[in-house]
Amino acid sequence: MNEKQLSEHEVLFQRYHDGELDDASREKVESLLAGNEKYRGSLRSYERLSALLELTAPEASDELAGRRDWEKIASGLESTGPRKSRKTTYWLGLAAAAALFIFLYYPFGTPINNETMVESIDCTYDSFLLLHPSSDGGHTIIWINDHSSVRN
Amino acid sequence: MKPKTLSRSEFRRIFPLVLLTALLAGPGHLAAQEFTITIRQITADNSGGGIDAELKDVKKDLERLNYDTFLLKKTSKIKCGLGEEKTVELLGENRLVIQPQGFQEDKIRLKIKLSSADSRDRFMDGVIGIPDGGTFLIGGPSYGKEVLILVFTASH
Repeated sequence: MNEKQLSEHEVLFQRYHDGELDDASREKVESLLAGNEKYRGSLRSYERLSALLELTAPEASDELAGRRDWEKIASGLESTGPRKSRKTTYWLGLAAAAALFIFLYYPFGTPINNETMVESIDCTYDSFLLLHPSSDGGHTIIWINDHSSVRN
Repeated sequence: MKPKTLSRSEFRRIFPLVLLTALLAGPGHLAAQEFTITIRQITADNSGGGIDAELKDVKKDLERLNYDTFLLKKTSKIKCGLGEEKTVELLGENRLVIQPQGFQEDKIRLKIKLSSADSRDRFMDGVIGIPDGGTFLIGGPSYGKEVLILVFTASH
């Protein structure tokens, strides 16, 4: 049995003592108490402490209840903390991957150029001309002057 | 046998790995791709025949040339892998060798060598960057009393 389990049981015993549990939880506590002397000792300590507090400083009892509430909150945070952190890491990772994907495949900053680009031409025909598309559309034309051809 | 489906947690574990693989494989997928190059062979002369109805997509281009008759004679569709060289025998024993060389700035890089029928010393060798699905023309080699015009369209 680990410390965390014991601590959880202690909270249960305190709530049991204060009459805050529903029937099912109360039965669970009673069965725990019946089967374990350590738990019974824990409950007795709490009863003594509670009685002492009630006797010496009634307002401290409320403070104890308040502290218990904070412990519950802290315990809840502890149990959900790492899971939330993993979730955040997962979504951050996913967002980073999506951003990388968009960056690689959709380069928004770069205007798309639909024009044909002539990178290099090595021509041993008589000569050649490069005709770029006209302003109203069209395509790039590489025109070779082949003097063996017959022009009318 | 019922196929095993992934639970949500298994999917969450695997999904980033799949996404990363897809990202890394992105540029590499081109290596496995095939390029389709369509070559239309047109003859041009001044016999007053006008422009072939099948050439309306390049009508503007043809109108810029000093001919009035353009006839579509042959269409070849060639599938080429990256770096793969294909030879096309053209009209008038002209010869064309094409080789896709991949992508640069979203354009298909196409190496082209056009050589003359009567002399292998006369050729035009060049690298053209063409948008996916884009068109360009090479014209001028002789074909008897006519000239030959090639209309290239490349896609992947």
